[in-house]
Amino acid sequence: MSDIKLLEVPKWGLSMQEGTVNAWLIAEGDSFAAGDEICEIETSKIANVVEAPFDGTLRKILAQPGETLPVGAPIAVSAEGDTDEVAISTFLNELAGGQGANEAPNEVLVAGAAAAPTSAAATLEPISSASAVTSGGTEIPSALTSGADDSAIKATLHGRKFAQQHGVNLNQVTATGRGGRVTRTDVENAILAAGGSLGTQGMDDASVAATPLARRLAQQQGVNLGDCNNSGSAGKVTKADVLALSQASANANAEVIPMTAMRRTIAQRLQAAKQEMPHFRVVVDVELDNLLALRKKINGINSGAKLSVNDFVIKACASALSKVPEVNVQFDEGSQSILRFTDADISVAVAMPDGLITPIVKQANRKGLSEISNDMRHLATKAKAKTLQPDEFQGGTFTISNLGMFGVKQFDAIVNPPQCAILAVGAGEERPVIKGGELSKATVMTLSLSSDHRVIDGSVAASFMQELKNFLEHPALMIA
Amino acid sequence: MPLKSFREAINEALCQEMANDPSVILIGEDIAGGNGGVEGAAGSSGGMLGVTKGLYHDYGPERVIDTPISESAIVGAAAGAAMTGLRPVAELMFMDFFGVCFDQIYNQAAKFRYMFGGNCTTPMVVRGMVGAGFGSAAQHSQALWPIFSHIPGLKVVLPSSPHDAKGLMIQAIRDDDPVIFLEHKVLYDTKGEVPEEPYAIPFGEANITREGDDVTIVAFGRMVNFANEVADKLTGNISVEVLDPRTTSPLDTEVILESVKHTGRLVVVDEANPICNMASEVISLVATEALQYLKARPIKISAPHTPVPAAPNLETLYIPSKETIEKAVANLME
Repeated sequence: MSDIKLLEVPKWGLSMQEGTVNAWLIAEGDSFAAGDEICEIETSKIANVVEAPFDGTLRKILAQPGETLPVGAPIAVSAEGDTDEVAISTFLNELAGGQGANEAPNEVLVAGAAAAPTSAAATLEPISSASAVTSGGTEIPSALTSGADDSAIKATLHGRKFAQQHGVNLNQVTATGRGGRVTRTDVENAILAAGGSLGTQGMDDASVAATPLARRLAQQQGVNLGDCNNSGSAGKVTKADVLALSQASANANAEVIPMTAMRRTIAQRLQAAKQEMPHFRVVVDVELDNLLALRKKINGINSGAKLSVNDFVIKACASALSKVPEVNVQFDEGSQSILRFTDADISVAVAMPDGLITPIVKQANRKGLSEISNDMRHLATKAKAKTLQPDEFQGGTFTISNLGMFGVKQFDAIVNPPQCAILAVGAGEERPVIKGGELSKATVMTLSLSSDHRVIDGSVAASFMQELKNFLEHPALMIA
Repeated sequence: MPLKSFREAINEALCQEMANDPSVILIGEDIAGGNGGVEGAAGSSGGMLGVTKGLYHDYGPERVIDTPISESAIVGAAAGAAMTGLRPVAELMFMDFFGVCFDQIYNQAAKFRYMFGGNCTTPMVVRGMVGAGFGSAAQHSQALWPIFSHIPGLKVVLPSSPHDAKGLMIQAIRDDDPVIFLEHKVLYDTKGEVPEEPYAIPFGEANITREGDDVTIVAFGRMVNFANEVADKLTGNISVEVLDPRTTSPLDTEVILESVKHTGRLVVVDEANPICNMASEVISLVATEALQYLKARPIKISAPHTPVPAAPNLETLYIPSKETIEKAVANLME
């Protein structure tokens, strides 16, 4: 026996009321299998393809591209390929006869089903044979809608109203109310027990139980409370429920990357530093021409190490820290004391594919440039191979973060506690400078020191930067 | 359908149940009526309230028992009779007199079924007048349903219309537990449609006297009529639903919650003094079971916490008014 079925505007989400047919992806006469994409429908929120809910052949398109129809409205007729054209037009005539142009689609199905016995040619099987969607997105299983006259069944006023509103016959509902009354809760439970669903009252979520916070958040995020879980007490929608939904929709087009342990540590430590530590910054420009000339000379003679500008910065910092030991400190919050160090153990930020790590050039104040350079190269290699030992990256008394190789002019870094200062190094670049009233050019680098004002004062930071500038502009002083 | 007064409706219920069941008896002060029991005048007036009028004539002195002025004797005798198989309807005249027979009510009648392990029932009714508005002063005007409702084992009935009075009285007589039947003295002469045939209204099932969507008014006794008038006056402006619980114990919590979940706004009107009254109970119910449905704070309208004044002008101020109810409803919609 051949089946004639309707394809309908699907309901994507509880707040969807209507959809606009954008385009048909198959033509009349094409056959399709369940799951095939048959047409595109656009809602106020999304455009999506409709997948065929069953196997069939598209016999007649009812909704032309551009037409906007309510959820559940028929958009096309499907039938077996060999189904008589006459049977289809009979079916469509009955459809048209059973309803006004825009009447609720559920009534279409009921009217069609009632007329079926007189139409020998086709058995009508509505797509949603098991249920019908009524106002507010409540889905009523058909098993609940039939039955004898229920006007004599005892029910509370609101129980009866709710049942009538959704076409539920009270004979099908188990009464648990006082004196055998069917309550509204009974009707709702019957719908759920029969496999139906309870929607919200349309777009209005005012009647959905929610915490005040959740309601405000839902309004801000444009989330319908009816679409959320209700995990709170007494079935209330909570803030977490709203967030889960808004994140689920926000994440729809994003790749979800779980936080690695390193990422979590960075997040946690820097969040804490930014929240708890009063940062302030001191910025100086440093002319590098002397340093670059010296570097060129050393690298030309010394085959043992290729010195980088950063190696000079490390050495200069170590020297400056020896001059201004008030910056070479850690803050012990527990004992409310400051730990001042004699040696400068300098952490150097090294970027990694999934984060960063700060291996330590230990006792940099005691080391020569070649040794620092070799240490640094060795540590960076181990860092990238993830073979650093804990004592090679835990501790340190001062940090250098250098983004100069990216062409960054200047930036501010966040101090890595329990350290109290970090130097942000920009790129060395040729800039115009005025000396003695004369315009000339120089290679200039901007350094920005972030300090923890709880233990380092502005004048201390400034003194340090003054020393650092001096060492970098007159590198010979580092061996003095 | 014939119009009957509240008084006539109760009289009809008593009469029909006495005809229906020979175990039903009446007991109380001067309920046979007449001028002090003068021969030939018995039953002519039906006691001070006129509720038992004609019953002495119909059922005789064995079933309509006049007693001395002793409330403890009346209720004690009724409780004993109920235990031994009769269905007595005792009249306390003014319910305010319960003070001298409360032990028989709350510590005896209300406890028998429970303490005797269900081997004994106490199918008795205690009737009496309640309420202010008749110039009866502090000792004869009280709204005492909260006190009775507090006692497990008692059922407490508070009809607001002649129709409900008849149906609830028949149910009270047929009920196997002690029932406190409270008749508001101002309502005795209100008339309403009352079917001729006997009918029982189940306890614990509220009557929705007005259907609406905006505000739920839960009102008790005479206040139901006030609430109905307010709902009618506001029709077209504010859609008010009026609930008459009809019995304060058991209380129809299901319908109250359904209605409040529907409207989201609640006014409770209870003529009783405000501390621990039914308005407190209903608001507590809604606060614990349906707080999240409320769109505004619930409003409680009760008499002040004072004895009922004797002066008519003060008594008028004492009783919750239609204007107060209307203002509360309008306030909730702002």
